[in-house]
Amino acid sequence: MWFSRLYGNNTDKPVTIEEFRGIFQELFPELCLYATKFVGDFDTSKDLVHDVFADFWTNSEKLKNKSLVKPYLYKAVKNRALNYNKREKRKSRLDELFDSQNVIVDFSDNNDIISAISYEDLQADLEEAIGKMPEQRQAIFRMSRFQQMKHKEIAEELNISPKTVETQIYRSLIFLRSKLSHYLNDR
Amino acid sequence: MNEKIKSLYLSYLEKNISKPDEEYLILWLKRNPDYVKEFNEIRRLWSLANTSGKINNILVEKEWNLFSQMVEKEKSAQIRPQNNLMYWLPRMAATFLLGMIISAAIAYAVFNTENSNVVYQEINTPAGAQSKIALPDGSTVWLNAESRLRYSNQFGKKQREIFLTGEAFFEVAKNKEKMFVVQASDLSIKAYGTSFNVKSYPEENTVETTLVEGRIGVKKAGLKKDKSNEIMLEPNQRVVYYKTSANVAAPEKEDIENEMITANSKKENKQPTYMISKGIDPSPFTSWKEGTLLISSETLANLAIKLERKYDVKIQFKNEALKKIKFSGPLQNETVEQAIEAISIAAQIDYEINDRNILFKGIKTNK
Repeated sequence: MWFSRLYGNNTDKPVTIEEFRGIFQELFPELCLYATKFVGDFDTSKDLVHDVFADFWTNSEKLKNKSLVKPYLYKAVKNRALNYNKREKRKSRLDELFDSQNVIVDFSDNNDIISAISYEDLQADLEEAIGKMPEQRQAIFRMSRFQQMKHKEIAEELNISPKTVETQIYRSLIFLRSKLSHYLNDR
Repeated sequence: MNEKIKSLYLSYLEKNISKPDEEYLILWLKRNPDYVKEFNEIRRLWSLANTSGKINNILVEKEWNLFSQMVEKEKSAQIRPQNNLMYWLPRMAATFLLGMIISAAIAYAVFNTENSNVVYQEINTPAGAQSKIALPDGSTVWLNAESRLRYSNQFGKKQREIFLTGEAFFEVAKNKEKMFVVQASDLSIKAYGTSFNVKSYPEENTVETTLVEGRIGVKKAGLKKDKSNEIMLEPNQRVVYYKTSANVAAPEKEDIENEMITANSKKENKQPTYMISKGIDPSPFTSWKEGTLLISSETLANLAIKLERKYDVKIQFKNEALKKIKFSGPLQNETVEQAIEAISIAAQIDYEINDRNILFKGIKTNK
């Protein structure tokens, strides 16, 4: 079964479709989260992870002696994301400044895998933290992040000044950062 | 830190910052290096918050579908080199070619600390096909073309939860202890012993639920089990849920005489957006299961999508204006050729059929 393959079990058999499907469904979300570290936006991350799976699919025969699918996929996502950044040259100088500060977890051995972010945990923790904020701030944050509304649109919608919107978003971010710090450090 | 820096930083996050402003921010950060860490973590938080909201099981399902279709295409194009993996490819092909097949696709999910195995049963229908499924709890499901139904081996034990992509009509067996829940896109539809239709194709922007009999509750997945978050439907009512608020278009299909309510559970929070129609005739929304398409004032663009699913054809338009022409009437046992011919006569449209490809060309010119 794919589970044993995922967490280390040397077998010579090629990956079957059932195994592949299991791997895909389990790892797709967390690989996307990992990819956003490099490329920032979700849609690009999703495409990159998709490509990695496609490659893995065509080359999985090569992988039959590699016992660990997960580190392999993490590494592949990282390489692809870095290549993407190089190729696209889409990073601004500020992006580069921030990136240079980041320690990237390499997932080169099994232990690091445990530190991968589960999106279910992230969603639950984020939702809990948002719920602790004052109501208007919650609403503004949700509009800004989940509905991708610009400051001006939020201000118009709620009939408040854009300055207030900015202040509220900034306060949300400071608050959420304190609550979710374990997702943000060294990752 | 002053307001200006905050404001510039936020516009950076929104990818809305000018080059000079960005340089200004970089200079400021060099003078105030203590803020680099804070800003960096906020930047990460920003992208995680965005991403987290977009990932869910349905997305993963959708991505897997795309992926398996891609693999399938690759195979038929013979690009894929021969290798060991070829041995199971015919099995996958069968899923697509043999119409409905119940694939014993097995996914092991690890829940909490105990390694309990959950096995999923999955039913797929390709374009041009339909199927009727008897569920273990005695409920019956009609699955429309290009749709997928998925449920675990836990179905019927503690819960009756079922995942739908595409369109299905449910006739739910009564069981007060075990709620029947349909998960479609990001909606949860709870049934209390009833029959209803759900249409939730990934490529469409809405999830449409039509109730024929009984009572159902519709709620956005993830919202609290609060009465105020749930919309209760009575028979002959229909609710259209818009998946992304950005694309809330005025629905064209709703009849004007129907009472319409836009339910916004919280005014300040635009999501979720629903459109409820009361006192409707449900038959146009459920007739597909008898093989009949009841078309009621639908645009040719929408009709084309339905025909593509029903007949497994590809329809294209040479002239965009044709998409807006509206049609009404039943389509029953017609062949695809007859159906297209009928449309062509009704609206005076020139068309071409080439195997499974149909091209609507333009309005017929009077000679």
